[in-house]
Amino acid sequence: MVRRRLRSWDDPVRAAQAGDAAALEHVLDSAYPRMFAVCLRMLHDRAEAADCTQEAMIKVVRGLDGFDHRAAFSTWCHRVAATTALDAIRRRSRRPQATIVRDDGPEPDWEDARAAGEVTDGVERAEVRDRLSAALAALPTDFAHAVVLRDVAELDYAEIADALGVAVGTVKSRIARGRRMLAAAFDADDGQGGNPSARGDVQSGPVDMAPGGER
Amino acid sequence: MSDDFHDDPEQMRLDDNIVAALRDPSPIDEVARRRAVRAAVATRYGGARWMRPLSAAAAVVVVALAGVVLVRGGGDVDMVSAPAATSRTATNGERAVADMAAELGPEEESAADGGAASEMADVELDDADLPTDDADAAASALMADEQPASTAVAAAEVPEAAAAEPAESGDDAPLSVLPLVVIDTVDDLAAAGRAALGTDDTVMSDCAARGERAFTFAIVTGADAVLVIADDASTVRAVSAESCDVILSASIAP
Repeated sequence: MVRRRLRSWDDPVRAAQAGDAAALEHVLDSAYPRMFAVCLRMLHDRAEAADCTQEAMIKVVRGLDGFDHRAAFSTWCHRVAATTALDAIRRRSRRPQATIVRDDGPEPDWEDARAAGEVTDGVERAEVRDRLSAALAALPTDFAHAVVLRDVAELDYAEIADALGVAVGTVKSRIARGRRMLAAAFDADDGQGGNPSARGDVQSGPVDMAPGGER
Repeated sequence: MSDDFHDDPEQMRLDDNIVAALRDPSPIDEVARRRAVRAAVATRYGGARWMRPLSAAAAVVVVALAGVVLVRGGGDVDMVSAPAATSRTATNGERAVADMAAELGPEEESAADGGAASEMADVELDDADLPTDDADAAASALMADEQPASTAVAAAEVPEAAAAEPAESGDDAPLSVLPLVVIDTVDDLAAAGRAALGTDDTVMSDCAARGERAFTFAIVTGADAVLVIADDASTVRAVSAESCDVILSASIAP
């Protein structure tokens, strides 16, 4: 399948709603990466995220006729992915726990790659993603979810509040603190100790990691 | 500086490169991507070729079966995990099984479940006589009764949360009672597949081992449906991707 980047979602989505199977396939294929990213950042497990994304895509298709184009189709897809991932997390919490194996593939040996002169932009991007994934996974869950719903799923504050069942003010607080923690953890992992990963007034010193707690 | 300022996400933004990295899930598993798109498209256009040979009722049973099958093999398997859901029905099944498992605990879970599969085995059971904590005994009684030697089907009450969940469409008939099929052999797996489909068609089954992981799978010929049971989701995918477009899968946590 030759992939072409969608310039506009509107026409292919309307075609899919009208019964064009090829348009539907194209739209879904284009939506997959970000929907998968939302699920992956929420679940921290590639296999589970792939299953969750598939479930979310089925929900999207089942709700396609009701999509009224008032919101962007991509935003709607992200929202469905986010709520599906949250459902998966709730199911996981009710399920007897088996050992969760993070399916992130073999650990890359970045030092060897550098020594061999094989460092490329791609490798560096992958390294950033891996470090970021680790930093995100280390955040308190409530903060991590708020950051992912805002910065990856691009939901607005009210939507996040609705999805998480908390007040908008709490959402804002969690996003701000989660971003601060994420930037601090990312920079600490990088050994920089500074603040190049965030914009804004980042408080130096220890950060209160208690979800929802007041400093 | 006030706390309000520190709690304002508009004042505390991540660097663009960090946001871009968060949104980039690379590497993407292209097989999983194709599988998801095909499953969704098949949902939209119900004439997907794997659905045609199945009646809606049989499909419900198959999907439910795929969601909750437990394989009792050589290892000590006592957990169920069904991460892949190709339809809403499977998800309902997963939820209810998870709820039930949480209530029963891991020891009882492998023996208690049941109901939609009772259709396929033509077993009449009175739920009132089967309190949840006696489901193990019920399964044993059934095994001693009309069931094939090593295939047991038991019924148990459905947790309220699962029972209260409405079905989303006419095809997704509510799973008022959930199945559990305990399968000891590959032949039993094939028999369960035939029974689930209500057909005498040939059901091919095979069992193999790759590395240290053993897996079992059944291919229902003529239906393009595959029921895969394995001890991890990756194996399910690896087998299924070779076999069909739409995958019904269940995996058993080690």
